[in-house]
Amino acid sequence: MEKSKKTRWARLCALLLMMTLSLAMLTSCGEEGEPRTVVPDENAAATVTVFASSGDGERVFGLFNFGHAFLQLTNKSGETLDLCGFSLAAGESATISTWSLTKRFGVWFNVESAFVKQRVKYNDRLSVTAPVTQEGLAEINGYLREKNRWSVTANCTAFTLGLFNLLVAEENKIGIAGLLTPEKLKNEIARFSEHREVEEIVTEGELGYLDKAGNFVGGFVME
Amino acid sequence: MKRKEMIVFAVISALLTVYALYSLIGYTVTELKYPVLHAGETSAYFGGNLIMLGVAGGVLLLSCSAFSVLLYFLLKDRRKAATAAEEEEEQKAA
Repeated sequence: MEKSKKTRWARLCALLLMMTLSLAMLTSCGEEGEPRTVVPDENAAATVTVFASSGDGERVFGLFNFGHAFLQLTNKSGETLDLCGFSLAAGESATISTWSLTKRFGVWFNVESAFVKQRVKYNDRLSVTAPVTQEGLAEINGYLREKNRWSVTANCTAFTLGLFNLLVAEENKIGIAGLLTPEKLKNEIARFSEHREVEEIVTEGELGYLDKAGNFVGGFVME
Repeated sequence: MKRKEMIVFAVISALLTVYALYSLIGYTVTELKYPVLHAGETSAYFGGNLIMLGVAGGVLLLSCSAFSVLLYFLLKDRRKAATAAEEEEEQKAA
């Protein structure tokens, strides 16, 4: 009887250990891959910069902080770009990502730029810029409306990586296996020889979100 | 459940209660440090912290309840054992 109890406890401990190890493997950073370079395109109508911060320096002991990932889209063309009702004028930039903000769990514009303007934030951020293809630019509004949500799996990294891969050429795409975290994206960005540490983020631009119908609602200020 | 197992679970739930309380305070402080977005009368708060606050609150409620129940049964057992010993002594004395 005692032996069977001991076996039961041992099995329970083994199960807990296996679950912990599986979780660690799923969220682990993995080995560093081969170095990469961005394939340039001087005639691109826009550029996209992918940012990832693992939350180092902002972490409080014992509390979860997975960091954040987002994009900065810069309009290089002579025309205004329409992003689901958000106007990105020629030469201007906007940060885009998904947030779990109480008003809307979904796509938000310029939260990061406002954040950086107000607070010391994303100090460990890495970024890399790539040219946007015409095909990608044509599909951006469809993607924003389709991915206008936030959950643990459909998180900021999943959105950012998906949009980045949609916008750039095949050679510049980033691939990540398993659970998508800002830490993993940061490691992938670090592989590019053109990556930058704590790159400046343009802090002007209207702050707002995409509503359920996928239309931009602006006019927010950060206090 | 044996007394030994009850003590183990009581210790685990007590530790969980302490961690949940720490998390609850930590996430509250973090949320208060975060800015709020305003558009006229509309406000938006950072929901990630609020979700974690909810989780920490839930864990606190469960672990605290489990600890209370286990403590109640442990004390009850102890009292029963003490009463039984007293009665035995009284019987011997009689």
